[in-house]
Amino acid sequence: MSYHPVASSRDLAGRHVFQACLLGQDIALWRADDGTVNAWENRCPHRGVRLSLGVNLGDRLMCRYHGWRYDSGSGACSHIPAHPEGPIPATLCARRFPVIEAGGLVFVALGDDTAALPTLPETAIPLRALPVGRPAEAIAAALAGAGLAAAGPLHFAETQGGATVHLLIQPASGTTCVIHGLADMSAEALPLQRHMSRLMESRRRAWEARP
Amino acid sequence: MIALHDYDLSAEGYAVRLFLALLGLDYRLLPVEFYPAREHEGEEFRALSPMASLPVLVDGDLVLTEVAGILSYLAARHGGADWYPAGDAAQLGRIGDGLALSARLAATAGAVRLADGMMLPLDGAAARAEAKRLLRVIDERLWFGEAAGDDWLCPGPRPSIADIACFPHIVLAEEGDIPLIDYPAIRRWLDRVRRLPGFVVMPGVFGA
Repeated sequence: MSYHPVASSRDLAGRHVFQACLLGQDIALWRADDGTVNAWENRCPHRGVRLSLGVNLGDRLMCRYHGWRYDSGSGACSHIPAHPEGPIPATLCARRFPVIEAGGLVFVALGDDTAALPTLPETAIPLRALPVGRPAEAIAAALAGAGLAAAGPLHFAETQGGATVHLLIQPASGTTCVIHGLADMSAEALPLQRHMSRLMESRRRAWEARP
Repeated sequence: MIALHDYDLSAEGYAVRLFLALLGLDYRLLPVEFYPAREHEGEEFRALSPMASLPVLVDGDLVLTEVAGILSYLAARHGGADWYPAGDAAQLGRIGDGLALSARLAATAGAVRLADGMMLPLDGAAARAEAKRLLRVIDERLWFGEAAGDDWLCPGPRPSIADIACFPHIVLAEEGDIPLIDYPAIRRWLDRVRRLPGFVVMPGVFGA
């Protein structure tokens, strides 16, 4: 499994837990106060409650249900409120996925494969990501059909407002995807971000209107 | 003392309880069993409020039956400049827009949650589709707000009653099978509301 974009760096706000879905796998993404980005299966090993409902404590993630705490980085359970003195088995651990932050986006791989990231511009600015109620393949076909240059199966580029815009498609579920945008520019980004948000909203309306 | 006729699972009622808590106001809570007894449709309650809806706020001779009216009154009466920007016509207009938006959320996300939980008749698919359209618009607004350094539904450094009115319907949307995964800016905004000093919860809503 190769790396796919699941969020922008900006999405991982302080003490927030971001929820993503990649190829049907629900993921809890959170940034520790030291900057470490964690991508975990969105499921507490204890009772299966979504960790994205939990609390980002800065160095640990606390599940809402019984307050079990999991360490940033290792994912190891380090505190069980009902057994404050009890030994915690070393195997009790949040399931982690490989995660890389690059070019303003956060990429996750579901396997241990260290396949290369897409080639990204160095000065790119993330655009507002757009969830679409259509499969990734259908959107890739639509973008190719609209004449965008393909840089990979789920990676397209076009010129908008004088900048090169990269569109990277995150296959979310079997029926949905999220389009992450990167604008290769260092100038004032907001006008282009607004333009692209409107353009992508308009494209989404057209894509979703089709049966 | 302010009296609030309310039902503890009511999202609209929660908006009022939340704002009363943020303002630090004492009030008397008068529970009305919305489900299954449907006490709000009884003759006794209709004598107080012909709208037969919850919540109802009573303050002296004043009886208010809509969240927009109740929050506007409390903001103007008790909220000071923080919650009622009396001289700022544009901001008052934006807050009015936000209150109307909360009514649209109530009629869609709010209605489908109640219909699911209390077996009320509703075209759930249509309500969810319209709720999704509203949430997309709100998410875009909040995303660009963040980009401009604004944390709230209306521009400016402080939350407004528009945030308070919209919050319950959005934070409880998943109870109506409307997932929030596709609205990351909304999810961050929910965190910010939860962190307001004085924030209170209701069943189904977690604190910060």
